[in-house]
Amino acid sequence: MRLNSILKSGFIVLIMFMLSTEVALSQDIPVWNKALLKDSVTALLTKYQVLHNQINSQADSSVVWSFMHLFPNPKVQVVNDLEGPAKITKISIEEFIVKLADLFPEGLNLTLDLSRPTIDQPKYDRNNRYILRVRLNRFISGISGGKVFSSKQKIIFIIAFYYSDNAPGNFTIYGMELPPAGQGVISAVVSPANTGFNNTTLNTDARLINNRGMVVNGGLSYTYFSSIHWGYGAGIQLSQYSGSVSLDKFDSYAGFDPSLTNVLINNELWFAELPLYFSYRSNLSKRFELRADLGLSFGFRIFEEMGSSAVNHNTGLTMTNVISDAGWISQMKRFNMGLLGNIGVAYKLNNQIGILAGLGIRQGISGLNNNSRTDFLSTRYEGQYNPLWGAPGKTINQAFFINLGASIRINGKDEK
Amino acid sequence: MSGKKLYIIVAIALIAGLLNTGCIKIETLPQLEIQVVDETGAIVSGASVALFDSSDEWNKRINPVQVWRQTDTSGKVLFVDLKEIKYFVYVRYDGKDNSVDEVSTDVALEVNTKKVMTIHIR
Repeated sequence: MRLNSILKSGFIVLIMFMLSTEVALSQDIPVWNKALLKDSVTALLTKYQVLHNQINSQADSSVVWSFMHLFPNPKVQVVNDLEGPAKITKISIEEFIVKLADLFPEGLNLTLDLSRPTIDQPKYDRNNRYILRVRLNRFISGISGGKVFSSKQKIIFIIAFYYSDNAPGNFTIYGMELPPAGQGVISAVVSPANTGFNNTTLNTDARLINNRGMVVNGGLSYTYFSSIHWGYGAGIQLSQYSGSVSLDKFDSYAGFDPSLTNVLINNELWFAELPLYFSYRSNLSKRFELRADLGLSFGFRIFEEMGSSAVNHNTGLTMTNVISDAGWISQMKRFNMGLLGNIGVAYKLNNQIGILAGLGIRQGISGLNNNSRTDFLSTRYEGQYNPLWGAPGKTINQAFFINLGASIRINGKDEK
Repeated sequence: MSGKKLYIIVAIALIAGLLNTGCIKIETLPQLEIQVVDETGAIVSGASVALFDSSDEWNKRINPVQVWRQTDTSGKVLFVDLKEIKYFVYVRYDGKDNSVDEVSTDVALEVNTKKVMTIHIR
């Protein structure tokens, strides 16, 4: 099976897998009325805001009781940042009320930015109960111990509700969290790749056939996720690009026929590449995560090799190094730049380590060489030079690859 | 000295040692530069040059080891990626050739070496 077929099959399997995961996840989930969910969440959080702002050392017990009943029980854990950002903890809501009244006898004014909340898709919990997460900005200000206290913080409200008679109801605040701090992820991949060199002139030539090659590349990368979904990263990769040009036979040169047929000219370039990219991730399930990268890759050529072979028409023997092109390397550029893209799935073995599988592409943008053969059209079949680097127009490198590897999270926690 | 620094120094020393001992060696295949001059000693540009690996093939002018080449404006042509063998050189230009003069490299070529020859045609 050719590599292109393998890559296509791999891609189809990957897409089917991702679709099947989505289907599996969505099998028992009702079709939600998003507007109704948003209205219900907004009503609950508005009530939370109003009652919160009525709590102080003189607050009526009915206010406290009503506030407490926004939560399913008094032990629900909420974020306590009443003592400043250096002392953020999680305490129960009943402890929070006591602390609030104690630290802010005149009350603590809270404003939730309900104009632009981010509401996740509800997830089934148990017994017809669903959980959803709402992210929004929260502002608080008050006076504590004679000092003005204020804070702006992104908060995640975890909201539970029941679904019965085809309608959501009984919305309560099931918990509160701070968004996870940034996460750093180190990944190591090995990439079997189908590579080649593209040149428009060569690709349309009837006799010079541009062939691709198979290699195995690999590298390390570091991705920093500054939010749940988005991040950016850099890495180092050792990449080989392999391709060959075949020709039926060399034409006579200056009246002499070299009697060489079935010509094959191999080209191998090795680069140290520095990928810089933006990254996206999304949980497909508890264990599986979709990951995608898009960015630029900067290459520095470290090795190169050119080889040629042909069959002697008279003897039938295969001869090697039938071309003397001493100047080809002087026409090559040391640096190049290209686009990179990766998409794949990570399977989390535990809280820190995962294994990766996916597909990727590198597409050169800058040319690899300075084409200087103005006589290419009249001399291209004579074997006086490597036609890949003599062809007019930009010659660029390209690779389609399968990524197989592992990743280790080195800091930060997953959002549950 | 920290462990990390020690690893780096050991790695560099190991690579340097391997290069020095020849365990890692990048070799250049033999090269042959030919300059063609006529009987007056004037350089000849545009002369056709071919290499053969036996005198028999040189005599028959068949099966050159590489494609035929032509000398540049300085009368030179460079053959690269050759083998460590003795080569027979044939040069022709405007009805003249080197059949009565130098025809071979005398000795086998060597890696990492560019042998320079002057060939007379008459």
